[in-house]
Amino acid sequence: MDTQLLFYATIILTALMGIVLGWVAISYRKLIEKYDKIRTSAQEAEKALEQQRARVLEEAKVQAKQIVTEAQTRSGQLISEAASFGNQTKELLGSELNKLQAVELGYYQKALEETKLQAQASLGGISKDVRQEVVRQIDAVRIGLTGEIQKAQLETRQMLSASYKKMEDEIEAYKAERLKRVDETIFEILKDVSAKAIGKTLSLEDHEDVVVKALEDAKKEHVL
Amino acid sequence: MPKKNMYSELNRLARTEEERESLKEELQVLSASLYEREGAFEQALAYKVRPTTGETVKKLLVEGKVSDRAKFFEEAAKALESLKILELTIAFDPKGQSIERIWQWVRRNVGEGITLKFSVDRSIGAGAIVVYKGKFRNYSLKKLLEDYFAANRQNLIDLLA
Repeated sequence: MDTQLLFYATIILTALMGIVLGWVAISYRKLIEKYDKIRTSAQEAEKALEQQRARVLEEAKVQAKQIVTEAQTRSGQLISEAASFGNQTKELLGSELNKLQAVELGYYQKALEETKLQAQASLGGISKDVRQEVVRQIDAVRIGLTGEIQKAQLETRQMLSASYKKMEDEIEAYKAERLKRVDETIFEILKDVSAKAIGKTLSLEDHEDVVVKALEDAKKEHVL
Repeated sequence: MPKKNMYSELNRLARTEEERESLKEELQVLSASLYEREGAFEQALAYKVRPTTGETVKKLLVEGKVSDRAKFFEEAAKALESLKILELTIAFDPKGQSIERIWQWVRRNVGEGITLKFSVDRSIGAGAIVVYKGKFRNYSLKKLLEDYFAANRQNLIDLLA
């Protein structure tokens, strides 16, 4: 019983699944068709847009060309006008400057002439005095210098004499010192040589005698 | 108890500084032998010290009737230490006879208890430089000549000129 029920239930479920699968398949097919349609329309729209863009670009190019041509024409006109104006201005300025220069030059030449005349008049008056003053000053300097030179010569001579005298004195002192040292050295040598020579000539007994004599003297002098 | 003046005999064996040092060492040897085996002291007297030292010590022990030998050596060492020093710088190397002569003169004329300390300096020529109890005096030939040259300098210069 249960087996039969299970069998029928299975068949019913299988049938239901078949119905569902069929519905799904149909829906899927419809969806794909819809997608194809949309894709086609999108491609067409894109193509149309591309064509429109090309057309606009072409129109823009033509317009730009026209604008450039017009601009070139206009600028050529402007340049020619400007050149014409520059030349006119230059000529005008040149003539004005020449005029001004002539006037200024006249003024300067006049002023220069006047200054020259004034200077000649002034210098002519003082040149004599200046010459006399300069000569006087030079004479004074010459006299002063002669005196200074004589004075310097005298001082130098005196200084040299003093130095020479001092040097002579120092040499004399040095000689005396050296002689003194030589004397001392001679005496030192004499003393040592004598002492050693005498010492060597003495016999042992003589030496003993001298030592005993020394001890006697020490006793007399209360050293012992 | 040893008598104090008996140690003056030892001074004869310590005429110079060198002799005194030798004698001190000998007395130390003898003193040490007292603490060794029996007969060590007599053996040391006979063989370990100079004959003169042995004889002098033996004589002093007998004549002084010394019973405490250790005390004797202790006192002897002190007596040697207390000797006064007479320093003599001389121009020759003094040997036995010369030392004896000088030492005898000192003993007779200055007194007992003195030991001589000799130094040799041949540059002094002859005579002696004496130092005693802090006093110094130069009696050398060199000093004599120095004084002579100092006193007669000008005469000598004139003579040399």
